[in-house]
Amino acid sequence: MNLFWGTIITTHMVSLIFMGLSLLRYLAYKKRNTIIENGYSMLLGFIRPDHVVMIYVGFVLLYTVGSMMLIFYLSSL
Amino acid sequence: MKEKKIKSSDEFHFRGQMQDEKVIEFFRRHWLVLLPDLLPFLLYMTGLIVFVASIGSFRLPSLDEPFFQLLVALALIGTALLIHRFFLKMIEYFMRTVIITNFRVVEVKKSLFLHDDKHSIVMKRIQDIQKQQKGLVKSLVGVGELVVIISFSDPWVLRNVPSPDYHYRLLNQVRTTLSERDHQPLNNFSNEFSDVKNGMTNINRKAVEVED
Repeated sequence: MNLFWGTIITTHMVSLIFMGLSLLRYLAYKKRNTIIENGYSMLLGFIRPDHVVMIYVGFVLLYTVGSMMLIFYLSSL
Repeated sequence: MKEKKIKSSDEFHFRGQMQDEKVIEFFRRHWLVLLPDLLPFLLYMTGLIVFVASIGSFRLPSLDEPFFQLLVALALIGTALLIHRFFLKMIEYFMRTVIITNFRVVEVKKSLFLHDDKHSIVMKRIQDIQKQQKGLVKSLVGVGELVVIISFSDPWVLRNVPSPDYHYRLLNQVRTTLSERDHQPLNNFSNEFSDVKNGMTNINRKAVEVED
């Protein structure tokens, strides 16, 4: 059981640290590149890179919380 | 009073931008290039949501069983890898740009961790630009290729360009404007040359008058 929980916690920690690093790299890129977005640069004409990064952060957090809840549910069976 | 040589950061929009270089337009690849990554991700996520929503109807073994633990751990690691890979690809899509300035065309191929490539071509070196849009899907969704013919070099192909017509016209317009500007000093030079020529004629006339 300990090995299992250790694997799960390590996976989530690595996942969150990787997301943090990606976020930092993206913010550094954004600081250096200040070209104003236009209709040809945005995805489908309205999705900005910031939107995707926000969804990324939300998705990873949701995954972390959701998977932990799922494991607690499975361990209660 | 000394002139301020360093420009303010408002005038620099991308790394490697030169002094007096103005960004005219920039674009990213067409959203069609994301479909091979987007569709499997959406399918997997839909399957996962359906599984979690109907988990009560499955007869699952206890989490104390080592094989089931291994299965759950592998599924979690796999899902984490898939999520990060997909979003890194999405962010990479936004970091890969083509910038058209008044001097050159710059293609930036950058990702968050692995790549940082830049390729640029000066407008003066561009001999011709061709627009290619082959296939029904490409015509319908408005995606194509721009082939930039460069003097003394292989052609440079910009793939998956959105609205290739617009960018084709824009590039040609910038080239025309630049070549018109380049001809301006030539005209001045020809005027100066004609002045020199008239001056020489006058000197010759004077020389002839003196001889007479």
